[in-house]
Amino acid sequence: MNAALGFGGVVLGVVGCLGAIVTLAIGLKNHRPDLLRMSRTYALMILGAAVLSFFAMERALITRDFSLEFVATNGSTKTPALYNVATLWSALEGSILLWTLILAGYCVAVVLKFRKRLTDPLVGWAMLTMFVVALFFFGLMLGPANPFTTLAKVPLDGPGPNPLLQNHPLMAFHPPMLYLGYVGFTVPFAFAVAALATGRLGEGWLVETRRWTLFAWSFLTIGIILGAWWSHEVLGWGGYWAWDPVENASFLPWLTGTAFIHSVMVQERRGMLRVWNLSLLCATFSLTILGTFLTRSGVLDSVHAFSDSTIGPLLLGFFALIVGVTVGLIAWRGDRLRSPARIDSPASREGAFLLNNIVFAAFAFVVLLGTVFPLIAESLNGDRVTVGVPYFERMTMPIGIVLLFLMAIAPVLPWRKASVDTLRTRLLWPGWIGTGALVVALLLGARGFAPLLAFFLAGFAAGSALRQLALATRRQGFRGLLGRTNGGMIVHLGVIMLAVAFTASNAYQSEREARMCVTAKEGCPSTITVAGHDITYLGSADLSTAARTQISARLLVDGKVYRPGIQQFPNGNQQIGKPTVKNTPRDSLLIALLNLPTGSGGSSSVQIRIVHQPLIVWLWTGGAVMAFGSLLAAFPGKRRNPTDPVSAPVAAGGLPPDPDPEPVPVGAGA
Amino acid sequence: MTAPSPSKRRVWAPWIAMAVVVVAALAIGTLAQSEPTPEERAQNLAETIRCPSCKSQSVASSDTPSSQGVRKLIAQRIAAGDSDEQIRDFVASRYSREILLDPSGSGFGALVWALPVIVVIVALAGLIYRFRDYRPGDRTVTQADRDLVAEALAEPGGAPEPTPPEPGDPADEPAEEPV
Amino acid sequence: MTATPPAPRRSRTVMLAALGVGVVMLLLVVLLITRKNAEERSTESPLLGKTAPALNGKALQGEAFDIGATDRWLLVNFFATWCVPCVEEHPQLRKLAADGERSGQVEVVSVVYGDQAADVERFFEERGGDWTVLDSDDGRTSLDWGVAKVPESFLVSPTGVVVERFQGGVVAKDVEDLIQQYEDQAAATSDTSGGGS
Repeated sequence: MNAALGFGGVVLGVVGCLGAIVTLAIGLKNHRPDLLRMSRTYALMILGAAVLSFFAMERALITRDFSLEFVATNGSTKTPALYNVATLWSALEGSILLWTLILAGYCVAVVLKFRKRLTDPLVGWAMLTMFVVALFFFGLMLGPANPFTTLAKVPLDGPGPNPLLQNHPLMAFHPPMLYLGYVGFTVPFAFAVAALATGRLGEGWLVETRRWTLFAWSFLTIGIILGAWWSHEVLGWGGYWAWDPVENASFLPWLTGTAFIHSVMVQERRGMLRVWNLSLLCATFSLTILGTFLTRSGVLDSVHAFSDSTIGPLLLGFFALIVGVTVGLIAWRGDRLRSPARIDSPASREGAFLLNNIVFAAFAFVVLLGTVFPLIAESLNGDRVTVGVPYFERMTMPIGIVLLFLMAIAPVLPWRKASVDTLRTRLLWPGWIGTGALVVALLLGARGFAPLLAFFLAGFAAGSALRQLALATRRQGFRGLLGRTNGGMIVHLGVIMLAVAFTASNAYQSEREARMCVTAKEGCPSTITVAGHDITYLGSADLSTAARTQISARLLVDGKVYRPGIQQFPNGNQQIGKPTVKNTPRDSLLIALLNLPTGSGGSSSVQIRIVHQPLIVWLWTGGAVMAFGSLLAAFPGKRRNPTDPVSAPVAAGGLPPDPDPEPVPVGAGA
Repeated sequence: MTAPSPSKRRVWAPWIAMAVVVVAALAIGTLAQSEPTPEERAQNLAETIRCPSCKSQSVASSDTPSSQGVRKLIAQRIAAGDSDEQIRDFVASRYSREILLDPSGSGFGALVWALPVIVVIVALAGLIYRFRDYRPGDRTVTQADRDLVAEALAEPGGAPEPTPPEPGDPADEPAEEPV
Repeated sequence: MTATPPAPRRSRTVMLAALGVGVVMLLLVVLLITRKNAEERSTESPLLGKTAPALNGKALQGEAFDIGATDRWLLVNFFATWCVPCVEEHPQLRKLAADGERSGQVEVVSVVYGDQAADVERFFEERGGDWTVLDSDDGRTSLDWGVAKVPESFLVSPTGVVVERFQGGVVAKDVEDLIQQYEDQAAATSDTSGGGS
């Protein structure tokens, strides 16, 4: 029953998308507004279809319906409830289902937000693009990634999801957040394609989709931070970002998205960088598809990758299609994109944003190059090289320094041109805050040129951001925290926290392995001290549940008992560690068991690894600050008419601009 | 050129003081660094060598028997006085160069280090070239420009209202007294 | 009179840049699509074609081993008792050792990888096999041979050169066929060169 319902939903989705595409195509070609208005019906239809399939699958997982092959390979009678629900996105077919659901949700959201403008051809083209993307994903589920295949012989139980995916609650939240981000970029992409297709490249559509981009970007940020947090808590090495190909694939759209968020302000203010912004939007969406491909094919070695399947070539083909279409559109419409304005001076806010974009583009290039270089080297030279963490860290460091510097200078730069006097007065206090940060770091024991420089610039940048916020709140009270610029400053503060935490935890991490006994012996103490924390071994404990067996060591750390352990799940012999982390604002202590405790009672002993990292908590808090800041940035600032073009639209062929452009109702759009 | 006036010097004084403090602090921080201990050296080396039986983790973050073996080897060789490069070369001679997590600086692998730098330099050079002969004062206003403006102002819709500046826009901050 | 703004130049730079990006992306796609799956890539070793490293472990079974002293083909097998594919390949090794004993052509030597002597001895008592078994020499041997994961075996020629590496369990027939291939090649070249030693 579940399989039938679920598959029915998929079929309904495919039919709905096809119908929508045909209807909208005819409507756009023959100028039939009544057909264009039907996009609402179709959007609701595919959302209903996706919801139906999603609930069918969840029901199958929760009721442990093993007649479904997906449940039989991924579900189990022993997994607890939360993880059963999350099992849906722990394997390939289910993850496509989640993607499709979120995409259908975004389609409906767009249709509702633009409900008064559905007959506008630009919106029509945007919806058409979204339906094409939705058709692709529904189509994947129809054939190669069908989650609803059934088994003739129904097994009595299943192996459950991969043990690493069910021993921490963050597993339940990281993928949905990530997908809300990835899929969310489809909306601005659809509007970019629509603007290119209709030739209406004035600024109106850009402002309307700004909030959608910001929304997607903040969820992508949250998703990535949650993933890092999960790695840190679960993997037992203190690592949170491994520059793994799949992690890089999620980072690339974030980089281009961030570049876009900044350069779009130049477009709004001065009408410049239009080609570049469109390219960034198209690149961001293409990179999400490329990332999906890398995760789901066996092309690159990764611990994240789903099992190899046939959808790899299909995803790659879709990626090629998107790149081909967008490149073609931009090349075709290039004539309309020349900006009438020029950069007056490099020492200006436009100049800073331009440099910002260059740096982010360079960053994205480095990450992409590092990820695919092994493939290039192998096919051109036969050389087998690995490009791993050391490469990325060494390349990221100068880029990070430059970005911190930009964050320090740019908020005080005025548009068009800055004078030395302006900079000198405005940057003085931020500069002293940076100096203070540097001295404090030095006194706390930090050494090394690069980390100290980073701390100085981080303090400097924090000073600039705080100065901006102080000025705004002094003038407007709490409303001074809302709006694009001020919310952006709060996001910058979050980024600065991340940068500081990244620098500190990388440069000043220490680890130690120790053997400990309950009763102290030669070579086996019962209490050790690591970086000022006292750790005492109290004994072992059995913390098994129905879902898994777990033997833990009880350790007294600074007065509180922690229980790192080793777990074993029923679906295999694999033993996985479950470390514990003691977080304080100053540092984190991660303790993992190396072996099961031996002996019992007073003679019990255990081998543990202790990893000490300063300022790790600033990573997660910084991420929260970024999310909060982007929420604030989404509020409208002092309201100006969002759809007025800043520069006169330039018509092709030198004709005078349309004296009576299509009226746009005030307040429509974001 | 005349010497800078006393008021100008006073105005720059805080910045000079700041620069002195920053440079001093950075110098102390860099020069007072202690030599890495053997454990730190071993850890750093271990982070650049891939675990032989893993997909991408380093031997520093993996517990497989092969990783433990490599870590032991690193410790032994550091105690025997080998340099970092020698140890890496030895491990690569046994497991092939692929085991090293970053390509060496010579041969085809060097491209991965050089390409980003080249691309950035080319991009910056391109931009400088593009904007090199633009000066704001060069534009002269022609009669055609004036006609265009007059026509826009005379249109039924009228020119768009000048938009109020965004809050927090530094362009409209009250002029600040020089410190 | 309506004044017209100057007609914008058709943007060649944009078109060229877009096409350039398109071509690069297309190349990337071609690269990704022609790349074999990561798992299928062949196994290479920097030892191939070079003299085999020494086998210095203490003998748990049989006698201490000098790799230069034999003039037979040698299969050096790295294994552990806790490794399931090693257990599965054990009968194949027994067959290879028995055939080799008969033909005088090939010998098997096993090296322990990350395991305890007592477990290894019990393993051989239970499952048979009487070829030389060496201990891991504190892990040095497996490092010298670049062993990543067990089971892994190396085929060494009578002249002491490593000619082949097998990742995963070996099949006796494959090894024997391979030895035959090399022998035939050597015979052919010595014929054409008009006699050899």
